[in-house]
Amino acid sequence: MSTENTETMELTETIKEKIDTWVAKFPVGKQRSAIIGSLHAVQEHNQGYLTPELMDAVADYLDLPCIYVYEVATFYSMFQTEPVGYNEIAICTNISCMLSGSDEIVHHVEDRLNIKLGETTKDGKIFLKKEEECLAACTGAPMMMVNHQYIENLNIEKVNEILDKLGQQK
Amino acid sequence: MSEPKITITIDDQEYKVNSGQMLIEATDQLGIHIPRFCYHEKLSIAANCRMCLVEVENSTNALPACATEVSEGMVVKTTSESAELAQQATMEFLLINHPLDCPICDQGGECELQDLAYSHGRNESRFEVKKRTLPDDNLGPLISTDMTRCILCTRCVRFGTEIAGLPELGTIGRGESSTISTFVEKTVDHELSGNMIDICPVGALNNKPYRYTDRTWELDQIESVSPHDCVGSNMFLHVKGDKIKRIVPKANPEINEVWISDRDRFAFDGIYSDDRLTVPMLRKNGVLEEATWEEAIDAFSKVLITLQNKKSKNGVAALISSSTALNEQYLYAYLMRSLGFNNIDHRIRQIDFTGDSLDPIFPNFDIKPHQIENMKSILIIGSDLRKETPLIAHWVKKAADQGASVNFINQEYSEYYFPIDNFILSGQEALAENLALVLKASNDDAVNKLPSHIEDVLNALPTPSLSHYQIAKSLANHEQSFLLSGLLCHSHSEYALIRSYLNLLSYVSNSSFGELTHGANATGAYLTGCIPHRKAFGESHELGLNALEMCTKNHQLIVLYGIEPEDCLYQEKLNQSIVGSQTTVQFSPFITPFMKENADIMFPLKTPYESKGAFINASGMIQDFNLQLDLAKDNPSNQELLLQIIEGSKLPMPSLDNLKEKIKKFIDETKNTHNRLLEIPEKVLKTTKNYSSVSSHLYDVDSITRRSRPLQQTKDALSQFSEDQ
Ligand code: SF4
Ligand code: FES
Ligand code: FES
Repeated sequence: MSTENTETMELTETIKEKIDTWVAKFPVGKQRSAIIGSLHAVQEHNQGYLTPELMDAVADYLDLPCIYVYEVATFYSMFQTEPVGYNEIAICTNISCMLSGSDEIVHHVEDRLNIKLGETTKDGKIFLKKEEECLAACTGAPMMMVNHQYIENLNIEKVNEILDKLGQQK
Repeated sequence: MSEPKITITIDDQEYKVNSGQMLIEATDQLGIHIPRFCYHEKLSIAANCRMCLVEVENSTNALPACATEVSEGMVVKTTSESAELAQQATMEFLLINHPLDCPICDQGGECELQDLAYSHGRNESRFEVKKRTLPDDNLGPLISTDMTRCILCTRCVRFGTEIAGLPELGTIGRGESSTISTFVEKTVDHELSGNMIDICPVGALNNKPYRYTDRTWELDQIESVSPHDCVGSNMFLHVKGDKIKRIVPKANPEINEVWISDRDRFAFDGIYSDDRLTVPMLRKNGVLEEATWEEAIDAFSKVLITLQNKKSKNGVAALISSSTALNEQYLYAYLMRSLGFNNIDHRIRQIDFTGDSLDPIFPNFDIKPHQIENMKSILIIGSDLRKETPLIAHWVKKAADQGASVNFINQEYSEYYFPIDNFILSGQEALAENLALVLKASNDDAVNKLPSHIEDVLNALPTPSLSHYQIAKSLANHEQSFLLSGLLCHSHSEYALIRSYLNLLSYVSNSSFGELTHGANATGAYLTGCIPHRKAFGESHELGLNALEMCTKNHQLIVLYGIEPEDCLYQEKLNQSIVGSQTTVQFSPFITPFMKENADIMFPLKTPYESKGAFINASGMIQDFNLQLDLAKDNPSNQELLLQIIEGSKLPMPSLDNLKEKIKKFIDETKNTHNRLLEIPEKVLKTTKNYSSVSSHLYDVDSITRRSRPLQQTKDALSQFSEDQ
């Protein structure tokens, strides 16, 4: 029931299989609940971001209106709807981390990479996530997530070390 | 509804209310006003705006009236201090980001937010933060957006999902950056989407053609009826001076609920087209020139009298639009019949007339539009339903959403946003047969009661498919079943046969039957004698030529009333007949180059938007429209014009007294005698099969719609254009 008549692109078999397992987890007719899982699968195979074509393809495969998929994709910060860098850094700026100096970390990273939150470095290596709320690691505040790995008790040296490492990657 | 009554106390007064409803529904019925933004009686409950907070005893917080169910002994205070405080806080919260641009906002003066800001807002804002601004989407030619004004009530989003069935708008983003959008650049195309303008409580979604043209408090509101389909949706014309500025729905729970189609809302723009005819025209020495009313009426009366004296009854062809008002139809038929001219017809989109003698007094439609909602099984034959009658499609959707089994036998697949059980895609040549197969698949006992010649016909048919059986069973098993025949049936070369089968199937399955008709007043045309085989009130009469026969001949005089050749299914034929006929007279609100070249006399008509009259919808409901706008000062009304011609033709003056009442009485008396003819006459079976491709175009149904600029820019109209290329 896609709302556009334009030809939608085909998803690969692997992705379809993954979507199928998500659909199977919910009652018949409730495939709207499988949108999040499906988008994760698609995003993973598309360098970490979603395109309208891919979202339409998911909507088409799930037999849902496209707008339902757009709503989910734009609501959750874990989905990107614009091209992003290869590595993803998400600095927590919620209360515990903020009290422990996350603002300083953010400034430092922005200065060193010469980008603002929400942007990607020119070489396409690092994407700095726009906002990240409490990641439930308050005991290790301030903290950030690098490619989905938690790095806690941050200070400037530790951050530099990580940025160096990411910078050296090919 | 006989739900148990419970007692609740609202503002110190006890009331008996139905259980199971939300508090706001109860207070609305009782006439107690509770402020709201997101709640809308026809939409699901979102409870996201919090404007409806009220104090409920034994609850620590104020509760949203739209999402709190009434319960026995509940004590509610809608104006207590704590209720007011809660409402004021909500208002203050909503105004943090809402712009203060009421002076340039079209919603100003009819804005729910503006009203409540007066009653519940602070004089001055305590916030100094910058207000958020949002980009606007281009939603197409009908709806303008000012998303910065949006309060995120999601009424428009729920409208798309629940009423249109086609979710086009959504809530994009989260928290402070949430916005209502289509996300990808696309227009909002559903044929009911204009209703979002009305349900948006603020000025975020507005009427695009009307944008910045007027202030609402300067407009007069006048009741009217849509002239563009056989549903007869009720609407209000908003008028300033002599100009219609916009149209909004008028609620009628039996016909259009609280909605109107985009066609009903935006078509009126066509009446302001540049090719509007405002003065009579007369051909003198080969040139069509402006003339006085007296000259034109005189010239036409002379032609009529000469032909009457020559007794050339068959030399005259009189066509009339099926969207003409009742009084005009009556006078037109009176004029022609009294002069002895029997070739009169409105059915210019019909090609099969073999069933004329079996015609009911007026087309069948056993139920009122809203009763479709209660049907449990519906079979729709030959209809592009959403385009033909958007509101009938809406009622069918409501039935389907409540679990009715909806089935189609159709020649084209169009998208429907409700569950469909069986969709039999049938070429035109097989439409009648597919219908007959449902009949054949029906219960033997019932079929055995049919006359034997019909059994023979059925026996000669192939074996029905599973779908045929399922449809037959569904119709037979449900007491509330309904057969709906669409406009494509009307234009089908086996129309009479299809209608015979529908009669039989309705008898066998004990279903109600409804036939959609072209225009706004085909029922009136039948009842006033604008058909060649009957006079007014169904009296049979000496047979005249039907519309198709008229169009395939040349005449001494051809008269078109409210018709442009473009309206005719066989436009080419009609054009030729106009060119070949001695005298052509057109009554029309517009003048086209073709008519300018070929007409000999032209009378300007007022459109239904500018005149008084009545339409009878498909269900036989008579409805008045009452506006007399003076587009061209001093022009006579259509009725006066016809009366003057009758006078000029030396006929006795007919009486229009109580015409409406008489027709209403006649409808009431004859409606139940609508016979289900259990026969298929020989000539109907032997119809020459001559299939032309017919499709319904949403925005090409009449001369006004064709000229509406906003409608012609919609995706529907543009895609039709590219189809025609
Ligand atoms: S656009 Fe209007 S109807 Fe839609 S969410 Fe915003 S305020 Fe509500
Ligand atoms: S606030 Fe940063 S992890 Fe909880
Ligand atoms: S009207 Fe009740 S919360 Fe919006």
